[in-house]
Amino acid sequence: MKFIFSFLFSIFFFHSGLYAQTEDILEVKVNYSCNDLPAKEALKQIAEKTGIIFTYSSNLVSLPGSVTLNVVDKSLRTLLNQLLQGTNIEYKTIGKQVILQEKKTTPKKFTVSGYVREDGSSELLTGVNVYIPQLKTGTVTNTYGFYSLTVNAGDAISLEFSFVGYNTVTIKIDQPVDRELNVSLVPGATLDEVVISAENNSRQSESAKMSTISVPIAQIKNVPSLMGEKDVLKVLQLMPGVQKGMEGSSGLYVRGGGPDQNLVILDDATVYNINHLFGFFSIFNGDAIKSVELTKGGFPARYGGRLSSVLDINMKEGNKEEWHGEGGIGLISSRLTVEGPLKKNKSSVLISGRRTYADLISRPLTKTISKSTTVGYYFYDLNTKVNYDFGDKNKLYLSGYFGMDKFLLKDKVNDYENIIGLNWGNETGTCRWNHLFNQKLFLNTSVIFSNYIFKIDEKYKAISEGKDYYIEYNSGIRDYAVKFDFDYIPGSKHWIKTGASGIYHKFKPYVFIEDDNDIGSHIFNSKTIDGTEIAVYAEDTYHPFSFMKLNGGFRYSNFIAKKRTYSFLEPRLSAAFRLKPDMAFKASYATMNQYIHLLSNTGISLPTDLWVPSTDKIKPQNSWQLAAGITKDFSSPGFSVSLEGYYKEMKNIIGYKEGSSYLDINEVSSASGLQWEKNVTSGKGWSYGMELLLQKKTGRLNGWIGYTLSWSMQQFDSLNFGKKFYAKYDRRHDISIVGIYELTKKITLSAIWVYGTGNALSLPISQYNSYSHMPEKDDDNYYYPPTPGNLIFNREVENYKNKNDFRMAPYHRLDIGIQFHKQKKWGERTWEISVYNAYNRTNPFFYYKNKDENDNGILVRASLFPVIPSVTYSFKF
Amino acid sequence: MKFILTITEGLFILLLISTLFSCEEIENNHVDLPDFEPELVVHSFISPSDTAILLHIGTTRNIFGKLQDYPKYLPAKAWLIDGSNTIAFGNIDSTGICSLKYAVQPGESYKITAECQGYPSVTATTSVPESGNFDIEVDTFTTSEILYDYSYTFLNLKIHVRNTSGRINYCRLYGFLTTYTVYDTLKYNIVFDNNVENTETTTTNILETINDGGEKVYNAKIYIYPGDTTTHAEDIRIVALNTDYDYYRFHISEENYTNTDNPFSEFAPVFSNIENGKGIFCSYIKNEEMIKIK
Repeated sequence: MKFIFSFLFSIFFFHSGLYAQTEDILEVKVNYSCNDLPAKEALKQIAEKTGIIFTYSSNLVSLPGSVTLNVVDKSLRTLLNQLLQGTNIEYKTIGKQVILQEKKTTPKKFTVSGYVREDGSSELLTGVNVYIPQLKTGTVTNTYGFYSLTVNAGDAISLEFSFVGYNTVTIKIDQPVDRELNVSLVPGATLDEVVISAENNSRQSESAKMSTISVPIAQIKNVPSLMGEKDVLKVLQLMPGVQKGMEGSSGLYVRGGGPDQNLVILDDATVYNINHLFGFFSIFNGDAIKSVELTKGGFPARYGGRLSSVLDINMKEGNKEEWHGEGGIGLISSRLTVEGPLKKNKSSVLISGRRTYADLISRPLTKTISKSTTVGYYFYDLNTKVNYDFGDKNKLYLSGYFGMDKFLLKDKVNDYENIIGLNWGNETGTCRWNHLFNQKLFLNTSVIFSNYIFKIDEKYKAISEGKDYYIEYNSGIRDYAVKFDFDYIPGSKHWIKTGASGIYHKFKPYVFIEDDNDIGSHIFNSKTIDGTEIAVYAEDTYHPFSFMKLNGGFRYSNFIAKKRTYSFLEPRLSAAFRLKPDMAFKASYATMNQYIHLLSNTGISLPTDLWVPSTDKIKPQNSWQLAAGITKDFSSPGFSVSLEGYYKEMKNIIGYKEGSSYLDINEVSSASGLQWEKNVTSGKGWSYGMELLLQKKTGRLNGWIGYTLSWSMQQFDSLNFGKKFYAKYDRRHDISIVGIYELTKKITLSAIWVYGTGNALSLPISQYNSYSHMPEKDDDNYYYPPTPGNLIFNREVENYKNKNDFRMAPYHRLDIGIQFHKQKKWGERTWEISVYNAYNRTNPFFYYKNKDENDNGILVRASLFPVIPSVTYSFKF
Repeated sequence: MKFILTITEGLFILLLISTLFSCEEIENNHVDLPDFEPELVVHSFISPSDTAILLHIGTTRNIFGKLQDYPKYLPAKAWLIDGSNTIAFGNIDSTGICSLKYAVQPGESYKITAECQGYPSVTATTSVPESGNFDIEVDTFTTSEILYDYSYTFLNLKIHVRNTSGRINYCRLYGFLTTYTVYDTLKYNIVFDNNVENTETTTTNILETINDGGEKVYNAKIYIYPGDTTTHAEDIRIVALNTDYDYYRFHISEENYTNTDNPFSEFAPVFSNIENGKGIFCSYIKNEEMIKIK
């Protein structure tokens, strides 16, 4: 120990001595003068005078050609400073030598950051491409319209801000200093130039993102739709890799995953039931939505919680500059949106509502059939958002969604009254605070509430009997969540995103309430199940070379269930390699986990579908996905093409035990409580395929062709006797062709044609009498004596070869539409006439067996929608 | 229940409203349905507790097209093979039943073969479980409950089924009680409560997988008639079958099987282990407990 101390002590003093010695050289007093002498010669003379050696490279070209010096009794340091003034040369001493060398300059950097808004409304724009052509680098604005770019000083640069449907803005940067640069983009001028893009960013090769679809809301309104109801989700179904389920349904089946494997987020709040009326309409009112982005693979680490896709929807903020509105009157619903400033350029509000009026038609109709009976059904949506801009450092947003489907059956005869109600809907609320710490660090904090409830009730009143009876069944899921997302942009090569989230789920699978004026009030099974989901993540978008961009990260998630805690680390990586200026190769890998499950086996969206947590018996679902693809842009005539292949494996996916059915409400009791665990089974899934998207972005005729070739298989130990089978929505070929043609400035024509291989179907190939071995229970629970040898004829059974080994007839359909636009003094109006299923194809909804008039067995195809024309009037002011 | 049915109807009405324009079409020409080829169907359950083996032979029938055509399955023949011996079953009667007097041995493997002209010959094998795989024990105790101001006495059963074989076993549990009345003799199935926390399962017929060394416990509660001992004398039989895996799979699949009238019900095929045909050939060992109430 003593030795070590002595050693360190001596080293310290040895270095101190050297330091003192070297300091002395520069502090030596010198007298020197010269006039117009080459610097090298002056150095030579000083060396001769002082005996100090000056060492420098012969390549040190920046030594002054001539110097004039006059130093009297000044230090050598002063002399050297005068000699080297204005040069890029520095000096240091080693022993009695003075070394001259070029200064190692680290180039100065500066940061340009700010927000990109829409001109005229000050709406912050998400996904705007910010590009520096001189450096061939760029970025995109985040969800809150913020961007930050750090570049080397000295480069004369300009920033190009481009976004689909907006004029590109180019701003030249002269002074290399840190600055805030807020930009407004003018909408509309190039609206017809871009229809839809596989990525928001028109420079696809610049982004490491892949398997992502963004839908410009303005374009959704040009596509013909069922009964004139514009639907974001149905436009997404037209993209490769995304399939619909049943005819007319809004359900999304992404790369072989089920609709329960999609995370649907509206302003950071999870939406649990995205459908109205059995899924024929989605809950998203296009007038209130700012952006829609669907991620099918290559998931960034900030997303998690579902296996197959993330659908991120952001509501408009509301116009900060002036009051505006838009709306429409259709065959089954009307809608109205109003937005405007509460305080100009500081605060705004948006209120958007939609309501169907089927009940207004059905009520008088049922009255004509039975005067005592009233039947009605309607749904409504209400979107609201308020925001306040405290300056560029702080912004606050409050948003909410309230939607409900309501069914009513009322029967009233004399003093007897029976009312049955069936209600289901979502409520979400989000409070978001954006804080900009500095030009490079951005924070979003969200506090989130989400609630889905399904309720059936019946009121029975008989005044003369003195009877007053009420029963209610309800179920649902409620979330309380908090989320922190940091964006840190240290330079043009990195964009780091990190954050954490916590969600407290409250599952209410089954509550039954009975209130009788004779026997009192009872509540059965009001028990709720809790689950807490916690996640932290970090990801970096790294741009090591001009031809390469990487996005890598991890997500660590944890789910605390009643009797078990699950934790997973989810690595994510995606990479883009620019092969040519307009061509990129991309690849990605992602693992995902899903802790909550949806119980529904009908294939259509029913309000009785039940969300339940992972438990000690039902494990979380896991998946990994590998995707690779190539994208190419053709500058003229605006074509782009992308081709992607993917392979996905899923574990612990949920299936429903053979023979179970959740269609009947009276099955709910057995499917809920904790009994649901007994009705489900878990297995494995595989899906793979390729997706081709050919787009024409510019010109009067624009649109896209999407083609998907895919396979989707599943295997469960307790289904199909453990053999592999095709998933319900395995679809070998899926084609969508979308065309929009601007005939004149006032008339727009549009058409969609879709084709898909028929859904997989289980069909019996024969039937036979089955004998069983056991005493069987009859209806009265009597013992059923066995025949001799215990062989009992049980029933006729159907003989199946394999699950889902037949195909329904192929699905194909043509929709056409024509829009007439007219500018009015107060704004713009549009009449739209559209025809759904124009050639009246009877697409299969389901099949059932029946007998014909000769008692022969037949298979009957039931179809839903024949040709359906519709007229819609829309306005904007 | 009426309320629930009304709501179910309501949901269907709602679906009907939304499918106002729906239409139907016969699909036989559009879906590639397979050609019907009839197969032999064989059912037989064998056990050392039986003195004879019964076997039923039938055929599969068409499900699309002419339903009236019942393929003939007579004359057919069947054989039992117990290692080296092949023993023919007796004649098959008009109901398709034939029998063979034979003492099945625990732990042995058996094969059956059946043939009929015009059909491929069918075969199946089973390995009879070893005896003594299970231990069942029934605890009884009485309780009193007051319902609607009357006091009732119940006999409670706690049935323990233990796997003592050192490997996974399959169990079928059922029970019944006999009630002697002056008029008739009735047998009632016993309704079991599965004694798992937070479940409400009640059933008369339990199929279980019991792991190595595992134990399953079931509860049953039987009302004891007060007073009149001449009209209500009861005894209880609890039966635990130790079955082979195919027996278990067949009966589980039969329980899951639902007629496909509901187009949304999950696919539920009935298990078959008959090669080139349909049906089941499987085995079991019977374990029984008799409880005299009086």
